[in-house]
Amino acid sequence: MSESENIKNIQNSSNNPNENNTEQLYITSAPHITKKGNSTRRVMIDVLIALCPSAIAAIYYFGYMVAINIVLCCVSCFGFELLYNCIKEKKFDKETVQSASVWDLSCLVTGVILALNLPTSFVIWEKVPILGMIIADILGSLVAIIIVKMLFGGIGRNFANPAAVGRIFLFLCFASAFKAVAADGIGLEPTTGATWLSQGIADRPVNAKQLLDMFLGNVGSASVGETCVPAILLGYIYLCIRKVIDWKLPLYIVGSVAVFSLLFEGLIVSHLPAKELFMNMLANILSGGLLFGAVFMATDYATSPNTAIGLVIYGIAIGFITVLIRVFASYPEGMSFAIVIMNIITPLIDKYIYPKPFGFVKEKKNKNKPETKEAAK
Amino acid sequence: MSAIIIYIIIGIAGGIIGGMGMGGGTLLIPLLTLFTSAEQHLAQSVNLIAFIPMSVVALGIHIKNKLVDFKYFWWISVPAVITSAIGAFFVKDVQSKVLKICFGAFLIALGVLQLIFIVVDIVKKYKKIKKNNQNDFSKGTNYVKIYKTIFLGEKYMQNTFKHGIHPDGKKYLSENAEIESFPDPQFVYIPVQQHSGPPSEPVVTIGEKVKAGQLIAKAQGRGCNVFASIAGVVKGIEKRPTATGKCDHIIIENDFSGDRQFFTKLVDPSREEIIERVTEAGIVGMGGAGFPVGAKLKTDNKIKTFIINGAECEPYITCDYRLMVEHPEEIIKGSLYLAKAVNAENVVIAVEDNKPKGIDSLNGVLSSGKYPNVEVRALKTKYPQGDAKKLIYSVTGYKISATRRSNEFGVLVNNIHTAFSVYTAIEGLPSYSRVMTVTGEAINNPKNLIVPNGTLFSDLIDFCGGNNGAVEIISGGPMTGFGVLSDKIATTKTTGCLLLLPRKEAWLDKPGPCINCGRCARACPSLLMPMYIDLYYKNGNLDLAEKYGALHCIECGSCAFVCPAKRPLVASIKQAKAKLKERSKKK
Repeated sequence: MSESENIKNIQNSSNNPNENNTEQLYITSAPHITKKGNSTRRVMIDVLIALCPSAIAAIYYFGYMVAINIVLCCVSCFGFELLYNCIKEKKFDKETVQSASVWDLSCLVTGVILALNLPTSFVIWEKVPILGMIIADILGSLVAIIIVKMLFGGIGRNFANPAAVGRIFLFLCFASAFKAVAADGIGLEPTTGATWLSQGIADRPVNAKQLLDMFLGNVGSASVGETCVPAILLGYIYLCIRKVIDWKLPLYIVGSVAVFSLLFEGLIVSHLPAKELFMNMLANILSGGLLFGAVFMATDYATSPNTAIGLVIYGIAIGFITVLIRVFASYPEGMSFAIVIMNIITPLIDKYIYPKPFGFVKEKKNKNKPETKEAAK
Repeated sequence: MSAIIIYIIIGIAGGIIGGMGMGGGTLLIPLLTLFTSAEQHLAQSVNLIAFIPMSVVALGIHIKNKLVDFKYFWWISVPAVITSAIGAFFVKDVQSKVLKICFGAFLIALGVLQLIFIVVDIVKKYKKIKKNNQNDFSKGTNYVKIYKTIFLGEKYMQNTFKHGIHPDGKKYLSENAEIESFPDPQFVYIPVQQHSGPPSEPVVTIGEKVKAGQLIAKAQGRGCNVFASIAGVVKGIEKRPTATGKCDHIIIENDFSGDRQFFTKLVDPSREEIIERVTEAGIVGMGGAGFPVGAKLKTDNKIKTFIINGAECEPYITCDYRLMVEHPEEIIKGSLYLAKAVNAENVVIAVEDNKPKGIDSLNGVLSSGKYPNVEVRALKTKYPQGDAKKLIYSVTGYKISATRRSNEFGVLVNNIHTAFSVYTAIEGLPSYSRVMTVTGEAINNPKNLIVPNGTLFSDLIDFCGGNNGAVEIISGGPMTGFGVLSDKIATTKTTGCLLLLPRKEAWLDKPGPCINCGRCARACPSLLMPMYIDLYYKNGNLDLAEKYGALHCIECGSCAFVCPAKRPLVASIKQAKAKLKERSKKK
């Protein structure tokens, strides 16, 4: 990072007149105080804490492989970012490492989210199944950190959510390996690997028992972190209390998914009674990566709009695209696609939707016209 | 098992809605029929049973909160009991499907009716308020006031503005220190420019003997007179640094004779007399901007409300608060003089609600009934409540942008200390001293002092027990004040605070890259997007910096305060503003 960015000039005073028990005087621009306990690293630690329940639930339901995945992804994300920093500075000494951007811990957030977005079995080579997993972790981290984040300028400048792009990259490259896995946590009956979303839209009635399983996370899933709704809600509540994310955005997304899924499924499968449509809507909300994506991925700072109205558009559009992909496309799940699409559209939203300054009054056109005419003459 | 959990969830949902009195039972019925295998009959009877414990508990709480009116109890309940018995008797013969449809139709009808009532009510209120307000203000309808009155009621009308921050007040350091007189120092260095405008012209010669209160520099253009703050001999006129730049200072050595030279006291002054005296006595806005008050009062617009700014929203500063507590009568009289000077109808003294003692003290004077046009308004404690435009919004509901003047809207704002100075000027005292807070964790005895202009910061620090490890010396408050590199800087009419911050409190972190979290946009009281102004200014794109509102910035520092990456946003917006102004001048 270039030091020319550093406007807040910190100069040392060489001729300090007061000699007795005084420290060196500094001169800085206003304001001279700042909010305590508020830093980029603190924000990232908060997100990591909020991810803990989901990670624990994933390990509980899907076994130790999840833990290995998380560690691998974190280490490779951290490593890639450090490596990038060193290569960019063309120095590999202690100082470069100390001043590297990895210490804001945002790479770990990417790592954990990416790991929670992968299935536990990722078979590329039949003979050594775990090799596929390792390759997937490292490749995913490479795409997420180097291509999406660092090449575009590091933290705050990524064009889309790194973890979401990493997942999509793996999903598209190894579509056959990306199979839904069964949940067989300790003390739970193993469930079928096929998820509710991957079944045909016309014949997937749900009952209350299934809904409850979906709520608790005891179902097969294509990515491990997204199944346990209470864990995600716990993270959501924590993030809202710490004011890390805007509490409204996940609600916009979930609400729009509810409305559009009711609408589309009602149009396509019109023979279903209202009760089942309603149940299907709930199943739509509870299954797939919707809640996890809404809480942890769509709320990524760099790639979500910064205005209240922009957030509404962004949230509703994510829900709309998700349902569109779920109902009409050949993929069973579309949350990460929806997030990445809207990430890319975000700059456009911020370009056209920005707040009017306090007390801003639009100048009347009638007033301007005569002036411009006179100026033209 | 799962059925029980679903029943529990339904129960929770019904309980919450029902407890608010919004018909939780009504919600229970569709939930039961949708999620369980219950028939419509069964669902309705379950609803009836569940209603009993729910209503008892909720009613108990409502009675405790005194929300229940027993006046119509019997008139409603007796016929209700009779008809409900008849209803229950008939319903057992009706088919479940029919019942379901009837129930749905009933709910829809109820909803539509409710909606119509609400809309009609809002339209009625809107018309009424609009009618009342149009007579009051010539500048169009005050929509903020209307919406707030409709949706929140009069009680929540405003007293605050959007966004803003809540920094730690730190007022306890000097809040209980009574105002003391600072003994006249050996030397004073009086800057000839203590106001916004051209510097004044010195009218004394070196070696001349002056009295305290004697004119030593005469106003130039829209400037301000400067007076000697102590009696003594003029030792020299030299250029010295001030907190914000450099200007000529008149150096006076104290001869300890204590000679004074005041104006005559004005008794029941007229409008013109007040303006003349205020201009003559060199009073400037004491809040920090330093705009000459005389020039401000010579407005052609019709002023309705004169707001006295006692918000004192910046952390640490307590001088205005001490003035309120110790001199409420003087403040009120001074503000009435100000109001008289512009023929304002009423005076509002706006004070943040974290100063209850100040509010009580002012109200104590008002309770005598001598000043019917003066009102003390408690505002929500929030930074920057004391910014003039935000204060006007909090008090009257007018949204005035930072680029416009408030007198077009019939409102004028002046600081509470200015009102006090106006009172003393009418009594005969020219403006050459002010109440100052010397505070901060790095000073041993924080104090509120009456300080003659031109006193060096070092003298003040010594008087307050000395410097205890300060890394920053700030002239003014921590949010908008100016850091100084040396303590040999003189106080002026606008220096309300001298702040010494230790390493623990000062902000010396290096900035990191922007993570685009949008916290600055959510903190900005002017509703700007500081991160984009910063970004585009750094990229050299002034047009986009202007688009995101650079010129509307009030430089309050809220954005930089909340920034997790510790970016000095205000500094770069200030530069962007300066560049934009330069550019518009060139055109």
